[in-house]
Amino acid sequence: MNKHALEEKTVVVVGGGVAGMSAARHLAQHHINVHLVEKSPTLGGNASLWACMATDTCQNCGACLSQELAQSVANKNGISLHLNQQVTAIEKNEGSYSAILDPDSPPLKADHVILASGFSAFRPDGLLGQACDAHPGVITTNQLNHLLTNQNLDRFLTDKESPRIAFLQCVGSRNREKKRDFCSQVCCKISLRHINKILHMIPGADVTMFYMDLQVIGKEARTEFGALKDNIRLVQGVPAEILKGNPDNPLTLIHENPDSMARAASHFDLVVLSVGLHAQPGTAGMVQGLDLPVNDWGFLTNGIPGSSGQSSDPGILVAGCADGPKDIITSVVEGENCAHRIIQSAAEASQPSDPFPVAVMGDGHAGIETAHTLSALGFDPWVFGQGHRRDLPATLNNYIPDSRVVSVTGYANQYLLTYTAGDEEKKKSFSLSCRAIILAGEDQFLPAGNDLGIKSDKILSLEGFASTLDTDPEMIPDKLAFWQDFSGPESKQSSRQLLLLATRAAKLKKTVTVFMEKMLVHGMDGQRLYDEARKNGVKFLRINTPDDIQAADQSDIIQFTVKEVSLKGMAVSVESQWLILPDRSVPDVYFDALADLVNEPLDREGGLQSPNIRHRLTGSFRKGVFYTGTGHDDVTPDDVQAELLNICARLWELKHPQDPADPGVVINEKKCAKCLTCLRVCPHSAIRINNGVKPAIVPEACYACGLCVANCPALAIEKTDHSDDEMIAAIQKGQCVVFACQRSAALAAKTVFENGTLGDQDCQVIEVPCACRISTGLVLKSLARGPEKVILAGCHEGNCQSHKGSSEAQDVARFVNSLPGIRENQSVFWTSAAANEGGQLLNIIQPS
Amino acid sequence: MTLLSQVENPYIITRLDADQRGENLLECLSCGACTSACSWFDQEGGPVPRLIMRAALMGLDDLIVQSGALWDCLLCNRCTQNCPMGITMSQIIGQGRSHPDARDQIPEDIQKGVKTRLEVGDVNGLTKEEFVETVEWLAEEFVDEMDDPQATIPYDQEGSKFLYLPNPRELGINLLHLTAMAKLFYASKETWTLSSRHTDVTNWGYFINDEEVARKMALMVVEPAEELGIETLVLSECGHGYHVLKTLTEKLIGRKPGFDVISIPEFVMNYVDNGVIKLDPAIHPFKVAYHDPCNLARKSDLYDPPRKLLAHCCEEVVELSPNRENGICCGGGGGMLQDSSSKPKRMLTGKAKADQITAAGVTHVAAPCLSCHRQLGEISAHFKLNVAVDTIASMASKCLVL
Ligand code: SF4
Ligand code: SF4
Ligand code: SF4
Ligand code: SF4
Ligand code: SF4
Repeated sequence: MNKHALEEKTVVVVGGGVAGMSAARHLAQHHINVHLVEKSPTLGGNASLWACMATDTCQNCGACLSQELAQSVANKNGISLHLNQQVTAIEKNEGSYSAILDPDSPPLKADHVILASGFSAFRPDGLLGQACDAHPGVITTNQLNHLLTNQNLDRFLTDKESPRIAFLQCVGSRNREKKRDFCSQVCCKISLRHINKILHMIPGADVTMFYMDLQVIGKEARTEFGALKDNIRLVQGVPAEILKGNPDNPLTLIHENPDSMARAASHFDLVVLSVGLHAQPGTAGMVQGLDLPVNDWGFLTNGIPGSSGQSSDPGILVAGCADGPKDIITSVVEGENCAHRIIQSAAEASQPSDPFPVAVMGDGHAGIETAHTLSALGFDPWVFGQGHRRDLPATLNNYIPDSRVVSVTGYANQYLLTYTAGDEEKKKSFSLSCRAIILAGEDQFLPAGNDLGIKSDKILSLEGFASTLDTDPEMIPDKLAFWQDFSGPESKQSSRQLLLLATRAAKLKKTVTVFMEKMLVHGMDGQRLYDEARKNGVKFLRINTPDDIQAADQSDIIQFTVKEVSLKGMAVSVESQWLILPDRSVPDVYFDALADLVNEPLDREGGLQSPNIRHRLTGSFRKGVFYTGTGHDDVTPDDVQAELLNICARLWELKHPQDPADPGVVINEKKCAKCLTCLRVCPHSAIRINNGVKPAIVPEACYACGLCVANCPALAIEKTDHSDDEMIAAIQKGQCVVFACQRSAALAAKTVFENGTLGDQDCQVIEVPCACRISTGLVLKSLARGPEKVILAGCHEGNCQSHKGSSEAQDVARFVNSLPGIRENQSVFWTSAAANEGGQLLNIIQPS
Repeated sequence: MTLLSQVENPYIITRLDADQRGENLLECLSCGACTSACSWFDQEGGPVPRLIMRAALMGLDDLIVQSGALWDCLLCNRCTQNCPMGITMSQIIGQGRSHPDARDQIPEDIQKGVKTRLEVGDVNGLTKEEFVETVEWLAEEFVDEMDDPQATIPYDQEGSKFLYLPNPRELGINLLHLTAMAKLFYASKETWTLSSRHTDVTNWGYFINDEEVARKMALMVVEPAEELGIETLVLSECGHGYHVLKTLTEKLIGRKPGFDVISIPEFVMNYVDNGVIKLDPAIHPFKVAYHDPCNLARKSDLYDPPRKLLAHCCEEVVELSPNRENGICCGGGGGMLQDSSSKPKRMLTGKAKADQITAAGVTHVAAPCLSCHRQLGEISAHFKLNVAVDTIASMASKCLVL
């Protein structure tokens, strides 16, 4: 690749939030000059203000990534930071751009602009009647984050044992009258995590969640919600007004009585407004002189679904929430995607075309899309079928429909697959060397079970109904019913499809009823589809559980009896001739084996890929192994396109490695006892065996976590940059020593050092690449220097990039403490602290 | 378990025009915002707004008709104020009230009033002769009071600039009020008149949502006013009268009336602004809380002129909280006050207002609506609030510097 082509490029990134930082970091890694402009005095954006949601385990919110990104961006060569500066306009002249700054400084000239101006959290000033503007007990999610970060929530609730807390969803979203009729997409999930955190901190808390449609969607979201829902009160319907009361009942909400058809009042000590994500007010003005469409809500829009990062101007890319609400990790990935688009276009001309075989496991939608995308970009996909499709376009030459992959060995850039293919009788074994593996597993979509006693000719799947609508519309009877969540939680894709079909049927003047527990609107396009359906007369009847509907098949019609949520103690009868049910999506049976093959975990729902935020959306613990498709997340075809762009960005890295990979970890052959402990423990499958016995570290695959260093019984593995002795050299007698993971606790410690709360003399923070690097030996050696105490600090469980770093370190602490001769007052503590938990860490170091 | 059936072509939803603002019931999100904001607050009984919306949407008209909500609803649209889709409760309840099966629920007083108004022209049955007699007598008194032979209370004066449309109470139990209004016109130095052919600002056709009746009543005002050739119709302080004449008339009679419509506080405020009318605020040396009548404020967007005028008439205007578009109904809206049997109910619906007044810590409340005025007076007595209640125009009249 032509490095010069990249070095000559300059990119202005507008916005120092997670999307902008991620873009800047990626660009700089490829030697592109970056101007990163941020209007506030610090990097980090909205995500940096959010509290860690971890309880005993990480909840994968992604907030802590902002600290890590800020750290790496601030120290990166090639990135010029412009803090306290706002881009007021972007001008285009003959293919290049200049960004005009306020306060006035020379305009920044660039070949490309990445707009990552983010969102602004809705401020509900004066919105909700009396209490909102003034009452201290009414706070927004942002203020709750602030209370949590500063560990002030308890004090705030004046130490009530079971404080009554209400969460009001959709505040500032889904409101046509106020011209913000979009779903902010992330607030339901944020509130669920907040509630989870609060219940963890205050087990007696009495939490009520008032919602419109709970968007329980995304990786493991259903499991998390399932664990939570029995411990809280869920009320469908969001009060719009908060009444002030007396000291005993400070805040009152009026809502429907869940048991009778009357209004009821509930009293609360704290009301949290789950505020929506709005467009950043400056964004629209900034692009005024350009030909970039802005939608009614002030978000940028290009009208090309799934085009992650693209705008209608080829030189301008859009990352993060500038074009609509998104979660943190999606914004991070989009930043990377935008950067990649620029890198790719700059390097295109000079691209060598040596073969680059990639194994694609799965021939469902995502598998096929992957194969197409990869071939278009000059990679050589090999598709291993799982029996989904057989009618593949001829352009895909390497398609093995009936294959069984028997083993996967190797590491990034050098995987070796062995597989069998061919008819049962003539099965043969083959092997494929490839440089990466993409697991494009798809959930199984099974026909919904029919335990309703309805004749099967009256029940159709969405697909079946769609094809009748296309081919034989006159076959369709007058009365239709859809049942959105009949088959359990529906997927994002099927609710989109259902809305489209119901609307089409209503436009044909059919009477269309949709039964649902909730509508997954999830985002801007989803809300639009839902609005369109209602406008066209589709009636949506809400139920609490599937038991709220009884069906009776009466020769020509189906008679439903529906306990609609607003009709307490009553039911309404609905007739229809057909019942249309979305398929049931379940993890496919082969996922288990597939995960095993690549030595990767499944998630808690049996889906592919761990939920670990360090590797999402598409990555894995293993370099060169990627995920896409419904098998690993609730994705629509548009989402798959964005995922593929991200995978391509990472394949590009494999194809054009930036710096010679040197993790700084080597096995000293002379000391090595060939016990293969390293092979067993390495969480990233980065140990190769040479000549059948000799282990060696594969630089391209190694994450430099240090677990092998800590575990090798022969002490044969050395970390060349930091030996044990170097690490502990600075420890002084009586000090508090903290071994801190560089991605979490060390960053947290930095924040308390930076703001002067903690000085070097009190505390010695020793950065380690991962908590798993902290070996028993290292701790014992440090104890020998007579510190006051030793704290081992790393990521929250589930947040460790190397999978088990936290539990390894916990084991070490436990073991050391159990040794005879460890003095009481010199014992060793384990603590977990995310990068955004400086305050919490300080509390451990210096308990007040 | 009661099983409800959806009827074919249900009355309520079928009569709504889905494309019309406020009537887009189909688009209800079932969000529940309406229920939380109902003027009944946590009192027993009363409407459950979302239930009404959902039932109407599902075609369960019977449920609505039988719920009693139709005449418990104050048509205050406080629920609507919070509706993210702008679906208007007064439209939905209105259709319910005109449902053939709900006709017998119309309160007796209202039925009687509608009948009398249509027959006689005045809701209290004041005949033309009685009107003339009353006004002429008042005019004589007025000359004495003003000590000015030019001072008049004219009626049927063609070509006057303004026509004043009184509330029936001003020609019945509250004659002094009419004189007070006459004083304001006198101070404006403009030509004005009453009309013997229409003496009544109210339109109870609105309460029963009978379009034919409402249209007739509107025409009873519009046609004679047009014949007199006036420029501007000045309405007595009446919430629903203003709402109908200002915002619904064009739709009801199918054309724009040939004159402007303003309320009397607006009229006075214009002349205070141009310096013709002078007011002495020291007449009321105390703070006065301003009450937003739902029909003027939320339903017709009239917020500031009456407030501004009140500020000229007392030491200081106190805002109740919440106010303006979020203001709380006095508890007598929707025809409830016009139904003499509704007092116990109105003391439930008035509770929130009473609390609000207590919280404001005032001794005086004023509202630019004679209905609100009466209800506020009753809740003040019932809840022992010890506040004096007045209307804005009447306070202005007392402050006139002539
Ligand atoms: S550790 Fe990070 S990702 Fe996990 S809950 Fe905390 S802030 Fe979120
Ligand atoms: S995610 Fe959507 S449904 Fe949930 S609170 Fe936000 S706007 Fe409302
Ligand atoms: S340092 Fe970590 S990733 Fe590298 S070989 Fe050792 S255990 Fe594996
Ligand atoms: S109009 Fe007023 S009284 Fe009627 S339901 Fe709405 S808020 Fe309640
Ligand atoms: S506030 Fe509006 S959208 Fe919400 S439930 Fe009531 S009528 Fe429906």
